[in-house]
Amino acid sequence: MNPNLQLKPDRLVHLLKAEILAGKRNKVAAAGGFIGIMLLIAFMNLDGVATSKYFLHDFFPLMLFTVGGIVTSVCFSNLNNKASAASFLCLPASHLEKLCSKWIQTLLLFPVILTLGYWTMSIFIAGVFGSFFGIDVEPLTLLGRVGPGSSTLWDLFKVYLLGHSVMFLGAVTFQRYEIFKTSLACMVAGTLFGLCAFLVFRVVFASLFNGAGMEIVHDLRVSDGVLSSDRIRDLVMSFNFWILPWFFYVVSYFKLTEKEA
Amino acid sequence: MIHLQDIHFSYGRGKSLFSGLNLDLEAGSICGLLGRNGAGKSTLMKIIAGLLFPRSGQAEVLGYRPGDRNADFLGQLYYISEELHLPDLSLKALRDAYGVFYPNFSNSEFDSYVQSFELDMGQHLKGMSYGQKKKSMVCFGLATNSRLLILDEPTNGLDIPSKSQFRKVLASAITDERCFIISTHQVRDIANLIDPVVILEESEIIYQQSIYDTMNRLYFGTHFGAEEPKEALYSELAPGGYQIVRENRGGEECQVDIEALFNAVLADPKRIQNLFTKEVSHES
Repeated sequence: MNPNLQLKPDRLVHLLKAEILAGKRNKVAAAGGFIGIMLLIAFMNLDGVATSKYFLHDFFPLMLFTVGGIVTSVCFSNLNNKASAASFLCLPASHLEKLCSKWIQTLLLFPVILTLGYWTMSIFIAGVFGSFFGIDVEPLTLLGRVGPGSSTLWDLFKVYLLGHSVMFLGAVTFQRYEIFKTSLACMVAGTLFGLCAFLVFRVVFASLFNGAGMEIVHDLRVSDGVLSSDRIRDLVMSFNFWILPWFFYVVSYFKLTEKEA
Repeated sequence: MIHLQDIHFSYGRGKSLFSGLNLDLEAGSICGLLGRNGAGKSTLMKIIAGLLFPRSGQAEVLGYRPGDRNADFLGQLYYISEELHLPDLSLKALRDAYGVFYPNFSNSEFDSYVQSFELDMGQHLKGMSYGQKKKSMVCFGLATNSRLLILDEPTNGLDIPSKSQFRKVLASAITDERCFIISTHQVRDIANLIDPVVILEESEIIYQQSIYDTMNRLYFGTHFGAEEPKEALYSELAPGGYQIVRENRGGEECQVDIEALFNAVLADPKRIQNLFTKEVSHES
């Protein structure tokens, strides 16, 4: 077995502990910033006229994806500088352990802590709004729907997983301005993929189109069965949420093994 | 312990830095790696530490391929770079959080080194001066008891008492199982410590000899008088005459002057190399 695929739980715990301790001050500052943003959101909705009962629900996905994207894209910032990269790469742990430590911090610990923090703050804000201003506000619910829509926290976390895997790969790959470069790379890749898919689709399923026009396809006939558009959507979603992220994580691992200082 | 054979390396697609470099180092030595700026000292040390990958050639360090960065290999190696990047921790927290990664790390040795360098265990690394940071890293590196310790410009930023303390702790820490590699431009700081001496020039190792062999072949001394001695391999003006390096034909006793040796080797590497291939006439 490749020694760099070793995953020793005790070493992983030491690594997590060391990294969390080393960035303690930044984390405290981030927590302060988070409370500030929450209070700002509350203050902006204080007039009560335009306030949606679910404004705390509405802001949660924005907070999760934006802050999560930033946190993930800088998680390998110690590879940006030669001296810090040397310390990180020379630390006696396998590449897989180093990757897993960052993965746990950004994919597991961060969303859980953010959700719990947001939930606590939302209860506090809803209490203050109800008691002092007589405005009815719904705090975030951990187990039910998020807002008036049909999404649950679990649905949001599935989207977060996909976004995280992309940002994680960008964090290992790019040396500077990771979040911008990753976003740009996604836009370029998405546009190219969309163009290719569109052209291939027009060629393969030419009979479905009327000249240059585009008809809405509800069902596709595959051999003797019918593949419904719902089924296609489910397949694409399953691929996006359960296969694509892991592909990006595997590529991130190989990118890390190739890093030099 | 360190075996590099036919190493080729270049940064990007630029000019090749190493083309067929060979180096063998044994345990139980403090190797002084000397060279001009840009000669490739730091690159060589990074290749040994597995931080840079040679484009071709064979590298074996402590029985591992350094580029694999095997966790067991990294546990036996400690690398202190010239530029430091330290976590935002106190020395005590650094010891507790990072010492656990090194199988032979000794808390008591770390505490004792910290004390000998007059550092404060409670002080945060971020708030320290450059010299204090260097000392902290030297303390940590020595306390890891790693078999291979690589130090890039370790005496930069150290005050005079600390330099002396550095020499003392390094001399006391070396054992038959360990090897220290020190790269420095401040050769006088480590002159009595290093053996062997490796000189890198234009990406090639042009000199690699032990202090004993160097003393056996070369004489370092002062020539009094106004006229430059003709037999000198290298000479430079000194008070009252010239400081010279010449062939040691009669087995005269002398002390190796690392700076003069470095200058002599750079002045005429071929001539110096030829001296070491000749039979020694004064050896019994």
